[in-house]
Amino acid sequence: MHAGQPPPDDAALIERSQRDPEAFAGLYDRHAALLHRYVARRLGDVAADDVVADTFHDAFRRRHKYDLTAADARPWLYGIATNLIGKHSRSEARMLRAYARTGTDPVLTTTGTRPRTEEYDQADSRLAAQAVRRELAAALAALAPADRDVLLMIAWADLSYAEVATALRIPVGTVRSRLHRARARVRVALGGYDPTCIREETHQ
Amino acid sequence: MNDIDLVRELRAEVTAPTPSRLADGRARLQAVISPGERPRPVHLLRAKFLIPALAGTVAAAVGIGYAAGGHSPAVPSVAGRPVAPPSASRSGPPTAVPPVTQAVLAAQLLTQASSVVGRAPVKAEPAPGQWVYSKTVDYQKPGGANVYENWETFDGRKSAYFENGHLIVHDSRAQVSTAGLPPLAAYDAWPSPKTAYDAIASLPADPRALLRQVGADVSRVGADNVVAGSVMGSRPKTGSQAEFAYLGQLLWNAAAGVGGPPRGEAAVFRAMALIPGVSLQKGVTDAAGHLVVGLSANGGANQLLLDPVSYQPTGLRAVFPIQKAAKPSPAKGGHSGVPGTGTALDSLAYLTVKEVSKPGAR
Repeated sequence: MHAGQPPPDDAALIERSQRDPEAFAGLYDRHAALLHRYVARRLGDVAADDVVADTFHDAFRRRHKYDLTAADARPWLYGIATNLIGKHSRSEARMLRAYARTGTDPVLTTTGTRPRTEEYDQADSRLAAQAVRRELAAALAALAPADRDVLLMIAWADLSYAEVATALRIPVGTVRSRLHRARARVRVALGGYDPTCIREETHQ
Repeated sequence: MNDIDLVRELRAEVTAPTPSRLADGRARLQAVISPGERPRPVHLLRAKFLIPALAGTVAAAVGIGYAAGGHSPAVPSVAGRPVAPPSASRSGPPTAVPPVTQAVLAAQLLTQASSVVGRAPVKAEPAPGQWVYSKTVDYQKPGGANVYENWETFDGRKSAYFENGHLIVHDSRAQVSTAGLPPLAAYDAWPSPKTAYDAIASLPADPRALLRQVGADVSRVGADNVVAGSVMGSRPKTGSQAEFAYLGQLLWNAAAGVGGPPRGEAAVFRAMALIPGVSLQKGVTDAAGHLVVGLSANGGANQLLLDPVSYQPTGLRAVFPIQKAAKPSPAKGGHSGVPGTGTALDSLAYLTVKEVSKPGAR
């Protein structure tokens, strides 16, 4: 369980919702914003609206099957969302490839964004960072969807290996192997570029 | 910075969704949680209580055993006096009358109701922002009776109530757009007095065509979604039950404003008369303590209550189902701790509904 994550009483909320369905709305209030941002990073705002709404719709329908010993419902919700994201996997890959090809990220053109507060103050460094991101987008596009799910659930949703395993209903060992494979392919796709150099250069 | 950190940085500038974006999603969830209800601060489903203007001879014609003089004035003034718990049917469980006879009685009553409401004066449709005041009594077992006052605009977009002496007005609830939707779909998406009025007005006069249209809508929405969470029952077992519950709830939600257009309401009653398995519960007392007539499509477990003279919806109630009633145990003096057959578990009734000039006005 991560520090700073939602309080561990989701199970109580879900249990209560089995008698008082209105209580389920509390789960939405607690998790929808972060889930929406995660999905928006993958698919853009518009698709995120539908995916998040469908996620809570499905979750409400399935609440009687929820494992009430699991205090934190995030893995369950992200698991449902991941299944729904899967229906958009071609679109996701297409947008990543477009970003890699053009340098303009379709996701960022449709979502609310905030200015980057990054450490690349110098123009050269910014360009280098841009180049790395485009390579990265190409690498993510080339990943198997299942590997991409694991990588992004850990990197973007801040889920632990165990939580990803719960979300995707796969053994933790499978999470590790998929993550290892995804990271290896990302590193290869970066073409021997040593990402650590960026930080070293910019801090000189 | 390793590769995971680089991934974390990608699209990090995507912000959290705006409150309005989240509100839309929440409204969509709310529509699933309680499709018959809006996300409102107080009780939603309520019907108006009309003064019976027409002589009530139908009750005798269909053999309903009302006690002489037992029907109270239809605009009760129960404020300030205790509200008695609604009684079970005086004539015993609904199955006391053979089902075929029940169906005939129900059909006769609904046909008569169609005739009566069809002759009622046409009610002008209020403006969307017209405030409507309602006072409702809600009896629940256990818990007892509570009386609620509520103000709501005809289109359901604003509502108000008193809390600790302060009038609270809500006008920022998650809004569901009904623009461009056909009347029934608009009602399904946002069941307000206005959308219910418009939906009733849009229904065909032919009862079989009406049932086909409603049946198609129930299929589209899903039978479970039609009445989930309402007093009309949570899980219709048949299409007929779902159609009856849908139409009963449609009348009920329209009655939260000015009812529906008379011709439309008459068509609804004609259609309900054709629904198989509808039974009549006689001698029922609603939550306001008035003798009413109950109609049900599930053996009396969930009932639409009608004024026996005006045939306007006056209440809804759920009773302890017959099949779940425990058999009395003579060894224990017949006390099982389980509610008896026909015991009201949840019963709603209007004390008053009327148009007012502003929230807080009575």
